Amino acid sequence: MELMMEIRALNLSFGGLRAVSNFHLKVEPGRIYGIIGPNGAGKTTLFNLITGLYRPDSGEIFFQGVSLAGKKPYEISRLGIARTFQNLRLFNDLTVVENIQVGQLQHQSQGFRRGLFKIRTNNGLGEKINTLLDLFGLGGRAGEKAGNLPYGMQRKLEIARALATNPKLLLLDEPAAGMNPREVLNLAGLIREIKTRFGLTIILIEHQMRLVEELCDFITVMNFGEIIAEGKPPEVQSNPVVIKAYLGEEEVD
Amino acid sequence: MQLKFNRGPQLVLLFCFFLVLCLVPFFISSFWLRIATGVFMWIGLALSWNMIGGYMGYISFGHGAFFGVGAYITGLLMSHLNVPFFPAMLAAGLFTYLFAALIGYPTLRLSGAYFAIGTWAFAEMMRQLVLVLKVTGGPYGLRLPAFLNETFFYFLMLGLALLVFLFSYLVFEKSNFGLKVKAVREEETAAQTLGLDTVWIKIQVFALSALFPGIIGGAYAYWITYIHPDSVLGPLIADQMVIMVLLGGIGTLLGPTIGAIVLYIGNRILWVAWGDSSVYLVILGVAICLVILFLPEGLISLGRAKKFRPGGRHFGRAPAGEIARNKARAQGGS
Repeated sequence: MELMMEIRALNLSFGGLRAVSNFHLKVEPGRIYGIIGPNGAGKTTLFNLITGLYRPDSGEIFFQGVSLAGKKPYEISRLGIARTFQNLRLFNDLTVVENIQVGQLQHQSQGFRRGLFKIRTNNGLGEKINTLLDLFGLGGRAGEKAGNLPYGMQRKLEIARALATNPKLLLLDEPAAGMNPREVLNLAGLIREIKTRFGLTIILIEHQMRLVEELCDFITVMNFGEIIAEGKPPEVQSNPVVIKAYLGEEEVD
Repeated sequence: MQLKFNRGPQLVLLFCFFLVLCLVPFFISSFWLRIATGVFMWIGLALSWNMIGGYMGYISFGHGAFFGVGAYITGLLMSHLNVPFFPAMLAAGLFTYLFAALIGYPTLRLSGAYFAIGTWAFAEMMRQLVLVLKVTGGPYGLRLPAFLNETFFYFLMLGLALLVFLFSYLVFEKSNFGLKVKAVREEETAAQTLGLDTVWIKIQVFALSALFPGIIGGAYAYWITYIHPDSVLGPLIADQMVIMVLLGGIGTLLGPTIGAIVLYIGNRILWVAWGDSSVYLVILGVAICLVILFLPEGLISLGRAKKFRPGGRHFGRAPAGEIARNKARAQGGS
């Protein structure tokens, strides 16, 4: 089976700090991968490297056999990688529908004349947009400004917007941050549904162990930029190094 | 978004309004005709600045330079090479468009205050360049072939203002491109990861926002017939564009239009009344401060506040500081 993505010996330092050190991962299509670790372990930095926002010092990332080295974020997005952000980055002053529409725009011609004067069709919202609005329970607030939505809905809108780009690989950066246990459960169902419906492969950064255990086929544990453990959820959970570095804290509460 | 060109009564009203504008020059004195011409010129300039400053959120203090460069290119082509006016004016626009793309490539990497300072420095550089060059006449300025027909310039500026207005409406309010531009303004990083080539979009908008000031500068040079580095390249040109947009309402179509009308006419009236002292500048300054303080979203929010009062907590009431902070954050966060 062809790999969806392969990361080899990835390194990035900020000054003296090794943010990501010798990271590797093989991503098979149709699976959900979890990346966990304490704050500052380098998880989000990893996503920034994959999406081209940062350049690695060394190492390689291949997406469906194509090297991502030197590619710009928009080029990587057009290959079929979409992401959400841990600290929401919505277009706050635009409506919910417009936020999703922006995700679709990459599929339209960037040609000068056509792009400049192509009038937006606001009435025919497009099938995909309606599907996404319904799926994420945003249908009733389609015309509202994204910045005015409650926090939980903003998180969902981030995912909906990312899906509008028709990705093959979806990177979710702490999608459950700030959610209560019931919302987390609801989100887990949603992630599973979009995965089957849109044929996605997903990489998930998460703090909430419950979500990771429930969803992920494979878990990588990071600490101080390095991989300290990897494997299937039960293996990782019983690994003493992981318990010491991460899960130990979690058991306290 | 405020203007809806729906068929029916609105279209008729618009047509009547346009008809009135066309008849105006035959009924008013040449003093007021010149003021009306000036109003249209500034509407065009304010709306041009609004493309980069309003829709994209990059505050440029260098747009006076595009106006001045347009004026000088038209002037040079007409006086030295005997090019007719219209080709000269269009060539000026084309040049400022390409020139801005070139300037935008390095400066658009900056954001917030740094971009403002960078563009301001560029404008100052252009003024100094024109001052030392021989071909531009240096500090003595440049004289164009005179064409004394006030009605012609009224219609020329009216046409240019309408052109910029329609262009803004179609490209920035209605098209996909406009949505991309707003996405870049709201969250540049997110726009990138959603597959938008933000560098290309920013350069495109900067160049477009310089195209029209270049053309309008050419028209102005022919109208005034004598241009001088301080009259077309002074910092006041860009400052006024910025103030008009902020005064009327940034990032909208009607805001800059209203801002240009109010500021230009207010400026003239005050100048007529108290022109022999500089009191009029003080009054103008105070008026602008009051609007910024109490109507941070510009004069246009006066009309909007009524409509959205029930449930609209952030109109009119919001402390100016908060909105300024939000704006700064929106501009600074790239």
